[in-house]
Amino acid sequence: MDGLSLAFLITVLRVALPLGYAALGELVAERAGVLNIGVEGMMLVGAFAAYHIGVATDSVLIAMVFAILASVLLSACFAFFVIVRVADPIVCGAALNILALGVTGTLHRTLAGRMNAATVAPQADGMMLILIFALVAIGIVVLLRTTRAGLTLRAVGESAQAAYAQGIPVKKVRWNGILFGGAMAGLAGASLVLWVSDTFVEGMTNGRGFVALVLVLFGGYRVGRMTVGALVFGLATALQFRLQALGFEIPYDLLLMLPYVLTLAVLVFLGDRVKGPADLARPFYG
Amino acid sequence: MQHVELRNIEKRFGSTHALRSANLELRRGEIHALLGENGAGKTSLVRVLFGMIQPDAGEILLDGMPAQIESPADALDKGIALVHQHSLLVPAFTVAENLLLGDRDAFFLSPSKRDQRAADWLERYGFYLDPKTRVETLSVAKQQRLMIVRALSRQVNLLILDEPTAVLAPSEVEELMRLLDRLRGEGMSVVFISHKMEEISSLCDRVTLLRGGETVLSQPLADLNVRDLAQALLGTDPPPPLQPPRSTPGELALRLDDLRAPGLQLSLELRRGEILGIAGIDGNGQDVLEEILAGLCVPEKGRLELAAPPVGILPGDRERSGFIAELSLAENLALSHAAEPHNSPLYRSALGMHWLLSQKLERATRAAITRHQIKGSARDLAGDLSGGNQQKLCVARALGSNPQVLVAINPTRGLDLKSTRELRNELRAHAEAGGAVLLISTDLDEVLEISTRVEVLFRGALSPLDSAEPSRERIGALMLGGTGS
Repeated sequence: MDGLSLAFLITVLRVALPLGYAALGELVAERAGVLNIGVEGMMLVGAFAAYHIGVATDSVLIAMVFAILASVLLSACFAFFVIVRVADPIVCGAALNILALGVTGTLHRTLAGRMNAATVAPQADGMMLILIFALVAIGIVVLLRTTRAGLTLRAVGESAQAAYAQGIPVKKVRWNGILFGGAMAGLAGASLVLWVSDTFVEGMTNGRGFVALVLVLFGGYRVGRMTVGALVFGLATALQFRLQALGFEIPYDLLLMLPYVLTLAVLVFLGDRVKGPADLARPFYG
Repeated sequence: MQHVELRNIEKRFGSTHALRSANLELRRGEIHALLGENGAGKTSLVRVLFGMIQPDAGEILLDGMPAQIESPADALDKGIALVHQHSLLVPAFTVAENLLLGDRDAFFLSPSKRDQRAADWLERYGFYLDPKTRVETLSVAKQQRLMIVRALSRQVNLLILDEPTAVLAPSEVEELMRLLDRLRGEGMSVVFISHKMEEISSLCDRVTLLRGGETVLSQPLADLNVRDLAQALLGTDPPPPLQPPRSTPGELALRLDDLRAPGLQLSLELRRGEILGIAGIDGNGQDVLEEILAGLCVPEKGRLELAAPPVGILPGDRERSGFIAELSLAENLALSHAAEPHNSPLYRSALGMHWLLSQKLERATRAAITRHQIKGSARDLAGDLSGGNQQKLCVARALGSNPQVLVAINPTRGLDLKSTRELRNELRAHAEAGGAVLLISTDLDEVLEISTRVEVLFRGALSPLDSAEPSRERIGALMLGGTGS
């Protein structure tokens, strides 16, 4: 493989990986019946924490841990309102996104004022991040298919009442699903800073959290398809960079559209019609 | 030996006093009937026993020791299982997944091992069912049976069945009774809720009767007869059975001519002034016939002639298609007329003047409430009514557009004695006022009690009965596919 195509492949993976992480987390949350559209905000908080802790400690590992903690904390706020206060999950998710954008922006400006503008975060080993993704992905497949925990999780998402009547602690399961989703979004945000770009920019997630949501839905709640979807998105994005660089006479807006259109097309053609969890985004009072 | 005792249980939900002073004494290895009219507190009481709701006052004793049952999980740990009136299975899951849901034995279990374990349990209770089947494709009876097997697989020693027979055909009821009898022999205690006196007197050992949230009677069944029970239940003497409508059949109201649809091939004629009873065991084409008459399904072949549209329908599954639980009575009544304002006096009176819409609608609703004796106000949510009142709301909706033909599918399923009688009287009144009623019911007693004529539906085809006085045995034979002679 020559240098050019290797660079191309790495670009593909760099775009796909954060999406993959975020989608895995959202998959687990949705399987438990919780629709968290705040993925974007949780990723952003993860990226913010990864950058500043990474710069402060110069340790990739500590940066990742704090990125995860930060977005788990944010997802816990979401869980509190949605599960304990039984608030509308869509509204709470939207609030999460706005909150994250505002908080990270303000804090970053404050902190960055005292930093050298060129300060970069330490860089993670891409292979390591991909390996972690593979392990988590396989773990989720095994968990959902062959374990009691997986069966319980799916039951809570399909019919909270039926699960509750079988003695399953519905709220606890949903808490776990949301927190796991938060952890994965944190990893997604961290890999965005520690591998894809080396710095933090306000609103740098730029809609990736929503792409992850779409991957879950159009990937038919299957880990394999979601991963394919993330890779297609990565491929199209890398292609689009390359096409822009080659200077074709195509309006760049059209090129920017390419990843979204292509990913949607592939996932729609890949999938038979899949029903999501029946109790998704329905409140549980029990 | 005393197994469970509930003493002076009290529970309020907002302004309603569901349980005032309810007592239940259950001995080990007995089948204990829990009786009471709708709203008497039976379901609340068993929910307390299953830990789904916490009582405001009162004591629970398990094996003579004071106990608390905090949640369904806690109840299952203490050996108590509840089989709900409505399916509490996960529709998208397979039989095996549902059976092992909540099981705490093995953490790792591959789908094939899951199927194997499920198959073992199913076989132990003589229930031959493919563990890979998705539950949403099963009949109501099979789903219920599955819930019972699941409860048994949890090693419980007390099984609570909330109106298990309301959704079953006669042969399925017998099968259930045999199973319960066998379990009693193995030492299981059973709480059995039912409205049907015959089932209770043939199956149960003792009975507890609730009225208005209080226990009014608790004694061995051997000391009572069906008449005593009915009397205790109603607080008055049971009324004599109803008769078919007194009117003579007149002109043709509905004609189905060689109608064909999946699982259905029949012809029938329905005349004004009569109730045509269609008897048959569930699953013989009733669903398709209902859908065709409701206009939800177009027949493949054949003609449907209606002398005067529209058709009023009392759906078989009233909770799914009879009303919207989250809307008020007034809104539910208004909805049914939204599509055909011209045929509807209710709609005209309600919506004629837009600025007075809500008052007019409420007034029209109050009129319907009075006419159909619904217990509730115009602004109450339909979902908060008792089953009997919900069905009366469905009647009000169905009759609101002044239909000539009224189709009723299992109209008294799950209703108590009093509501059942009121409902059957509504059907009779409709026929006597010149309407035509098509009564499709799996309850043979109901069909025989109020029908002018009876036909039997078997595998999608009708067999008319010629004689004026059809015998139960003959109809029973036809329902099972015999010749009936």
